Amino acid sequence: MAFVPIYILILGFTIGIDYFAGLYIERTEEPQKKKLLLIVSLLSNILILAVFKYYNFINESLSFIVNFFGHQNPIPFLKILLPIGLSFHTFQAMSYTIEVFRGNQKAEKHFGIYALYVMFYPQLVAGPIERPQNVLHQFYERHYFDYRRVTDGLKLMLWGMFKKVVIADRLSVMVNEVYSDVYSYHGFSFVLATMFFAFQIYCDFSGYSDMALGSAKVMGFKLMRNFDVPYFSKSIKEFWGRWHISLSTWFRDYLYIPLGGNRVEKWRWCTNLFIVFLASGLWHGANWTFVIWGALHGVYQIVGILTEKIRSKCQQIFELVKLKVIYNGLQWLTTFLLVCFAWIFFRANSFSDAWYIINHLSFSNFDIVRNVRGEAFYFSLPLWKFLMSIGGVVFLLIVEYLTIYLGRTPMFYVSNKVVRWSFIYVIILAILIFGYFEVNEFIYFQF
Amino acid sequence: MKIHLKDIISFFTILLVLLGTFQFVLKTGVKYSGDAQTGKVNRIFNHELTSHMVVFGPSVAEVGINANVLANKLNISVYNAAIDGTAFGQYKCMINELADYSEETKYVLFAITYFDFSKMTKLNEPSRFFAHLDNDYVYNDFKEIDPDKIMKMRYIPFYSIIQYSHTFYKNSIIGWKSLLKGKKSDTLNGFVPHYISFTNTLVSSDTAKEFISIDTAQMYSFLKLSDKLKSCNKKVIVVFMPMYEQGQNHFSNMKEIINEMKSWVEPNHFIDFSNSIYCNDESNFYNNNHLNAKGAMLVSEDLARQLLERKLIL
Repeated sequence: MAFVPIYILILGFTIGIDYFAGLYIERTEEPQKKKLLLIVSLLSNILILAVFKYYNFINESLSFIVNFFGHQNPIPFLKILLPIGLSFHTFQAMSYTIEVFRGNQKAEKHFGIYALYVMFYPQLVAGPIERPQNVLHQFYERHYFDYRRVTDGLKLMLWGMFKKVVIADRLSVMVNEVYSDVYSYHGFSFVLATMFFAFQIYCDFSGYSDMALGSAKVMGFKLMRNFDVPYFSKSIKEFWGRWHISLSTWFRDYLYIPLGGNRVEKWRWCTNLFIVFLASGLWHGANWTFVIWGALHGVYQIVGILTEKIRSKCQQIFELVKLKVIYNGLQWLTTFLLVCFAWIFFRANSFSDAWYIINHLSFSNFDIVRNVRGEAFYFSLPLWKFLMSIGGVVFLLIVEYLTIYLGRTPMFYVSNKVVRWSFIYVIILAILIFGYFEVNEFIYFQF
Repeated sequence: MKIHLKDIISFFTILLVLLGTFQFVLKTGVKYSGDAQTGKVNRIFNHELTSHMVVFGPSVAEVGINANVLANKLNISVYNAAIDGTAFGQYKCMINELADYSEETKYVLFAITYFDFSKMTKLNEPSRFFAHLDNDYVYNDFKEIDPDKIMKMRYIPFYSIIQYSHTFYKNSIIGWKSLLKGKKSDTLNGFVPHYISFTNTLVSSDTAKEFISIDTAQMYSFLKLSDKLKSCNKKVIVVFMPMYEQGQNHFSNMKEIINEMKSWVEPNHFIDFSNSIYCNDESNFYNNNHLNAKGAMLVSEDLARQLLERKLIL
């Protein structure tokens, strides 16, 4: 990660364009002119995103095609860095002009307040991607010191920190070991590394979101929830209602519904879903692996829709309702495995790596490396560190399971002060003792 | 607000006491651990080591100098205080401390290899020393290698906790057991024998020769330390440890490096095993750099003989 001061101008440019676009859209009576202003605003945002994030990717794909026909691609590649969090603040800025255009939000008159909406530091680099209706009015409210609110925010930040440094960063050591050298690993190692990645990316991203929500809360601001125990979902549809909620709802509101949503013929509905998930994949990164990841989730959803009737019939025939626990468990397991399968493409460094992993997945052949002294290493880690990482995941799952029933992270909200404080002390100590403190950026910073 | 203030003060007071106690208990335990390398560090910084001869160096010394063989042949007490993975820049703090307190120690033997005086860019297993970070020698030497981490550890309260490794926690438990039940004696006097046969650790495709560089600052530091040891009435002896010949061939300037090191040491006080007969026989090694138990026995016997022949041991 590098700090390039000149990149502030990019942010300044989009803020300026969208601020004035918002004002003029509101003032203009003519629908055609309103539309034109919206298009100018959206295009300027998309253009910046396209240049910084997708130019080289498109050019690389073009080179591949041109080379295939025996020619050289004359278009040069750009030597530029992707500004941190570009996809996030671009989408947040776009939601503003769209909402003003739709008449759901009044144009912000104060330039500073609008700039704050785009650059609000807790969620600037990795979301949640906020909506103007939720945030802008909060900048005008007076925020008094509220002990309960401040401590709740701090607890949320602490829990986010725990997820990041104790679970995600510990798992990252093993995941990186396997995914950076896939040809040295086999079978079950891939299964395990992919499952670890599922929890790594969840704890990394939801950990950041918790810290963002927590720090905003300390200052008196309420941001939208971004995760809601996604790995307890029993279908892919449910998963997307619980994973990166701010992005899912963004695509729902500004792409899926305008395309017609589900109020169209079935084939159109499926096409709409597929387009949305392709776009979501592309949003995550300029690489075919992300596109495939998105496409896979699109296919999952379409298959879910097409097999809905058959599945309900099977449910009736086999009286699966009576076997509720087993049925729910199977649904959960299938969803989790499908999500993990798609994560292979998300994490792999290239399509060929992902393909190699898929072709070598099995429940046998777990790689244990021994050094000259005969000590065993599991993904480069000694057994105790390996088990500690798994312990972190188990702890997380227990906490999340309890969260479903209590409606919030349990340990911080126990009414008994001694128990509550003890939990907090344990979490602080756990971060200090078990935390992994090598430099490890948040995964979603790259998007 | 008054109630909240009471809560805030109580919460942070308990937290400070908790973390302070935790750190104190951990550090105290580690300071009394006699286990392996941490035990060696403790023996010196707790001023428990009083052997006539103390051996310093990296892993080649730890596995290659049999202290008991030397002791029997020379008729003096010998302790092998070598620590694996370290170079002079990291273990010199132990020698400085020893020079300050020990009157009994008369001989300081450096059993070195090609990287001992290279520039250190990273501390290796520093947690073996962390319980003694308030010692100025440890602090200053470690600060030279990793200033950012070491300064934070000394001056930011509880920052150290995030740096403590698994070894540190293990040693704390061992230390507390020793405090309660008494310390186990180290019958091998710091020597760690390896009863395994040779494995070639060089990759066959890796034919490019490596160039070794010496850090002149480290050599001056060595010279300064040698003078200090001499002024404390301690003899400095430097031994270049044997390396299996194919391991030596991996480096392009091995001979030059040895000659360079030799030029910084008093004549007759430098013993070079790089050309010895042990280097041609793989049965003396467990890899290209390290002697196994059999090799260590042979080299230690030969070393004792040479020390007597050169009249370095009185």
